[in-house]
Amino acid sequence: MSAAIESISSDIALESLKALQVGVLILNSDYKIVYCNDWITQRCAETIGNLVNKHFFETFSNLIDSRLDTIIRQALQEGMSGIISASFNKSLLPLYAISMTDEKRRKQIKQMVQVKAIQKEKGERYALIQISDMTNALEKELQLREQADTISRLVNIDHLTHIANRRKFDETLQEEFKRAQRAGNSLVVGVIDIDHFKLYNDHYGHLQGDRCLEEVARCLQNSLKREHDLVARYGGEEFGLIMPASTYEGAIKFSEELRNRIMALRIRHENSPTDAVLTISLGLAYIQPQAADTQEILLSSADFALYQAKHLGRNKAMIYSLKNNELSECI
Amino acid sequence: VLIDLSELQRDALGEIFNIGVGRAAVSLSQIVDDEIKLSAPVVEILARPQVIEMLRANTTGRLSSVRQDFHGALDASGLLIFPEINAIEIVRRMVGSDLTPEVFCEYESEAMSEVGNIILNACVSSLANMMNISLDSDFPVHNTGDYHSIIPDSPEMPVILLIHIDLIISKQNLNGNILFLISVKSLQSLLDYLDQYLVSQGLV
Repeated sequence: MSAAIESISSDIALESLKALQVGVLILNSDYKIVYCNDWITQRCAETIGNLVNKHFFETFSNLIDSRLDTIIRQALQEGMSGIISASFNKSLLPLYAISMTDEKRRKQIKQMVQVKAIQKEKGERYALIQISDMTNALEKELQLREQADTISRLVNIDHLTHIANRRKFDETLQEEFKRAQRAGNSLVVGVIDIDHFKLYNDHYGHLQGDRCLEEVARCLQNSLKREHDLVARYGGEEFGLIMPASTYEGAIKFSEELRNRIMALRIRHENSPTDAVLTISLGLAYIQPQAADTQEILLSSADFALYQAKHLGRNKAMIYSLKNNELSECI
Repeated sequence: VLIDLSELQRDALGEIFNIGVGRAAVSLSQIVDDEIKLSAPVVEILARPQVIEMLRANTTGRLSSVRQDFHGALDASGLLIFPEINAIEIVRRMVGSDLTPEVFCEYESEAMSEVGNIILNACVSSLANMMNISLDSDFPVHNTGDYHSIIPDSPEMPVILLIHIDLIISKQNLNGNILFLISVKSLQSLLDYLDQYLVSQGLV
């Protein structure tokens, strides 16, 4: 290794350093810049002028007490190598993309900085600072991440109402059921149906019907208070509700609140035999799942409660407790 | 053959590493503008198979590691190891991103290198300061894999100094480990330095 290096003259080594496509700065133990390659000069703010022989922290005084300050000191005083990643540290040295000639529009380069102590025998310690331009890599990765994120969100969102869709509902129910089983917590699942929605559509038309679904969905979504509660469009005019670790009483109170809030929207429904405004019926099921229980039992119990709510005249919430196999009206 | 630490040596090493991780916590907190707490409650000296067995008992799944080599009065390979899900959580909380894919991307991997660099340098620097010795370090390298692929099986460095650490960020406790792989010779030097330190502190 050392033989190979010795075979290059120091002139060639210096020329190579000068032409390197990463930024190189070398500081002596007094923090004076003793070397700076072309990569840096080409990207450095012109107002700073020639860097060589300047004190690093007098020139870049905004970097005093920064992470870069720490690792330069660690390198010069202790011989430690340090890196600064581009993602945590928003701006480091005032370096700008070469193509940007317009001063106002030029963008600061996102930098990854590596600092290493260089010392020959027991001589003076120098800090070798290498700077890589991460701007493009970082932007491209962020773009890809955002796209991946958007796709995964879209997969779980109902395109009409913009709340969670059935797929998200099924996934969440499965997760929460297992979690409740493991932790010995309770779980409440609800199915919500808009009363006489077919009559609404027939009377007001499908476009208005869609708007009505959007409004109901928004109202249900905005009524959620607990972080892990979920409301989803289950299909047609049906919505699903998941309330992890909810108490029986809490679920009753919340279902009444939902029913009242929908009525308070005062969406006119002239042909409804139930009321002059749009109403909903709710069926809830409460469980503290044991090992033998399944989420299908929970969901069909909620369906049963909804059926009973409709049977008893609609605009009602019924709850079925799987703990004592009891069906009650939510009042 | 493994060397047992005396209670005094164990306490002293624990204290030294606690000072180190304490400093690292300050640096990490500055980056995120949020309080990050770090503590190193337990220090042990073990062989690689024991370490792997012990760590596997606590975590399954993929791991994230940052490795940094140290030279000077002692030669050691430092490893900061977190379960990958914890590492991703640390970086995401530090960057303030809530993006979903459950794998490290390039810039997160670089960010994790910085986290490892801060913690490992702080530990070694604390050790060097207390014992009045000189140690320098190479650049950190980030890797993912299982314990077998992450912990080098090096005949020259059969001894592992294992330090359990708890990192608390936004009230969440994300535990991990620091490992220093060292040679028997370096371990002996370390214990000698440690004894000198204890004498200088009037503890022996």
